[in-house]
Amino acid sequence: MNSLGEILLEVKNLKKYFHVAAGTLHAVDDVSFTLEEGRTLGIVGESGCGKTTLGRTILRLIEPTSGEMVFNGKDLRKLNTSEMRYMRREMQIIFQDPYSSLNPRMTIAETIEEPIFLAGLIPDSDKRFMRVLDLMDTVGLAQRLINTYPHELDGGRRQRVGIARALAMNPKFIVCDEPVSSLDVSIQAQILNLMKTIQRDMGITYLFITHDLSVVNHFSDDIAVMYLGRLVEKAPSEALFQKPLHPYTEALLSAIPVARIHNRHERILLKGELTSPINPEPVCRFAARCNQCMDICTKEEPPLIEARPNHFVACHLHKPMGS
Amino acid sequence: MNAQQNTLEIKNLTVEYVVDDEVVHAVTGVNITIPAGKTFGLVGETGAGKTTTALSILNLLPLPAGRIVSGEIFVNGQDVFKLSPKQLRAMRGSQVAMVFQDPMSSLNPIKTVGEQIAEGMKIHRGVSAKEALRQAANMLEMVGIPGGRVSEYPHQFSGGMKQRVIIAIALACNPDILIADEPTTALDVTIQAQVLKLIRELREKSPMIMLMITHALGVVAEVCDFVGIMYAGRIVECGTLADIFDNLRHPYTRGLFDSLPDIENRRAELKPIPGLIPDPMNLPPGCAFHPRCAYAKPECSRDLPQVRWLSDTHYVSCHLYNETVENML
Amino acid sequence: MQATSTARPFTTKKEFYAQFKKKSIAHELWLRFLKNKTAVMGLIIFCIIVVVAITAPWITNYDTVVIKMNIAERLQAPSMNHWFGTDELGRDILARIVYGARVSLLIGISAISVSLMVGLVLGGAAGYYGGKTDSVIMRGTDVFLCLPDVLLALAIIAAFGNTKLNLTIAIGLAFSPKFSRVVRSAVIGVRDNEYIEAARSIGALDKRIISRHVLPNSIGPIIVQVTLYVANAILTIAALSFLGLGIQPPTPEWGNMLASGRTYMRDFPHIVMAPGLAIFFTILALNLLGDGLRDTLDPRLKH
Repeated sequence: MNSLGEILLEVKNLKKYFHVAAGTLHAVDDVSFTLEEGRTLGIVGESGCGKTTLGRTILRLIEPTSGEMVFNGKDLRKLNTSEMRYMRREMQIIFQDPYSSLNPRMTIAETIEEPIFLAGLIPDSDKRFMRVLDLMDTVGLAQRLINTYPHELDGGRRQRVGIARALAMNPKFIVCDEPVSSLDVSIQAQILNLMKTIQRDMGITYLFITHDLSVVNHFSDDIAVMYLGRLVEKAPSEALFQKPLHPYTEALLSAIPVARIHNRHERILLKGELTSPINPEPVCRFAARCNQCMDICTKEEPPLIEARPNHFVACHLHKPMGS
Repeated sequence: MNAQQNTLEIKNLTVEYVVDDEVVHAVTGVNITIPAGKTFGLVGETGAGKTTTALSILNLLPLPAGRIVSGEIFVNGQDVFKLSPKQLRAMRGSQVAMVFQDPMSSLNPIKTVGEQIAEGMKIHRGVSAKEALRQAANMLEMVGIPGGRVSEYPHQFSGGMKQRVIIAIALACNPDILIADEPTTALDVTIQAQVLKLIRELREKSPMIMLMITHALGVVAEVCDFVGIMYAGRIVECGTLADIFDNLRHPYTRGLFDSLPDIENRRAELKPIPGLIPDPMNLPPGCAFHPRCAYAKPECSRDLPQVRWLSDTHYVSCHLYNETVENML
Repeated sequence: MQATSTARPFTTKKEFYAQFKKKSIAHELWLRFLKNKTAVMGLIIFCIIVVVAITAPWITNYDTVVIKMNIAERLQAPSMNHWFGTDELGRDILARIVYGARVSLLIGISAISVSLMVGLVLGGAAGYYGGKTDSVIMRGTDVFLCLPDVLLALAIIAAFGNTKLNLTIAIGLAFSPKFSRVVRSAVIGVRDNEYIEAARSIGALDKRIISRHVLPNSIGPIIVQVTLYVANAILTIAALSFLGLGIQPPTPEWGNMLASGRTYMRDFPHIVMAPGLAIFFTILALNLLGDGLRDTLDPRLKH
């Protein structure tokens, strides 16, 4: 584990555009960040911000339009199909929907075994099966469930199966796409604790995608906020929550429903609706809804700058450090 | 004004579903009273029975599986289960309106939003089509959408706006009672904030009472006056907002609050409730929560806990309080 | 959550599997199917027809009974000797019905098997890969869909001769584009599920994804269509034979039996009733079976 702290993933100017009837949809637009080994980066945003597309593009489950993803020193875009397949052992994904992410015709033992089998890691059938049992232990699934089908299990257990499958090849990096959003509150906490323990024991690096800010604060070391395909703010979790710099982040944080009846704060409410991600103008995409909008915001797109140490923001309200 | 106006009283409601010869005990012995002008938040996780309770109010349970075993529901003093189908139809939409969770499937895609808002008005208030459309435009303005959009179709609206349209449809006939089943769950958090503010404003302006079903305690804190916590078909704790948020007594309520990530204290490990939600076809004997309860005693697995009133407004159903009203957690 | 592994009572996979058995999906589906009374009836009728067709050589003799003319006994109404009566050439109608079943079923099922193979390949590729592949394949099938089945079969038979094989191929070709559509839409219905993406993320190749993940989950609607199209095929064969283009007399086929009995229909209705009812019951049975299968396999009815 002596590589903890070194940069595992570097995303540079990643873009994913889709061609639709009305024009070009900028799903992910020029996103850059680095992620160190053993840490968790939370990606937050609301619907249409591109966070789900970002996760899948990094893993090349969706082909990027342009930009680079450098994983463990290797440029993923330059790998051919079989090299990429080999790389997949190190980079896995946990899906949001525990109902559609498991093949209904495969038992959970078969689902967990499949990646091990495909990678040829354990040729002996019995030894492979023991590994499946080990994985089930790790995620807290009872042995007697080996031959059950997904429809016999509840959401929490199904999600555990998804986690076991992601862990099967001993990956270094896991993209978690809203892993607990579909679960009941009491089960969410169980799964989150499980994921934290796994990270501690196995040194895994997480990219944690969610819309739920209270969860991401609990779970991430750093948080990046996305809006309409762009990265608008990135900072360590505490810094983001205590002193958000981007007006959207402020509104987002103040919108979190708080389970408390005293000391309730006044909400910052955003005007209007999301502007279209199709053929966007080269201006600040948040300008139309921003209560601190200035003249320059409607003319120029703000670049991502480091406004405080390790605290990045793309907003004309802030200047780069030391200027 | 009729003293019974704007009241909802659910007495000892028990509802079952019969599926393939197996019985699902969806709701058992539920009591809810909502006085005029107040909002009652019904909180619980999947399978707690909240939606079933709501559907029972309008006798909208899916047939033939759903069966009301016992209990009475009084809407404005009238016993809903004794009404004829004609009277029930008259009640739905005019006295009692319902907002469902998924805005996508609640709206008819081939009718304009104006037509859908006006529909209820034409049926229940006998208004002419032209007048109804004019009033529909007013309703849209009331929920924060430009009235001119009254001739647009649902697909031209975003998710948050669709939910507002649904609220406009529900309020079109000035109902006495509004039932909202997870109205903001499918929405983004900033849109949710807008819709909750809208709900709060509408509430302040009218004596309408509201039954809000949700699993999110944060939403409850925002709009509700009373709270009922449901587990496995029963209300385990019920009281005012202050009773539940400041003075909770039931171990499950404690577990729900503890499962939530605390924004102020991010390093703390989450305290989930161990175990799983029970199978409604196979509930544990005695108190349904006892397998997951840190305070379980021998009697919990044998006997159903009785309802204990801790104050005028606050009751709890738990063996911890058989002898005392002091906080046992 | 356990940090150490729990005790293992067994050491091999086989032992574990013996202890914690797999629930058989097929068995559960079978039980659900049995609850549908009309579907079961359809299945029973169809099984009877199949059994009759298979055991035809033991029930009656082809040469002496089915095709041998016996003018003395012609046009007899149903009696103890001839349960369905005799036709215009004195042949026992029941015997001819029984052999007719062989022909209809054999060609119908073979033809649909051919269509299914073609449909699985073309429809599977179109549905799974989408994009240009989809467009090309679908435009190709569109061309064939424009041609009525009978006309297409006619063209092939006219060009290549009227044999059972050509008939099978003709009908097989007529139904291939229909199957491609069905397979394609079934695959599209499954393709966007996350478990397909999950399979890709763990390194599965397309071949494995299609065979292990896509097909087993899309097979439901395809099976239903198979039964319904077999019914269609049998009807098409009867139609062709009725028009004189399919199976030629003296080989018995329900369609050509209807054709030759037509002239005598007014005075001797029993000649056309038997083959007519045979067609009717076969199609009915297959349709009831197909509907029953559709209800059984409907994913929405699962828990």
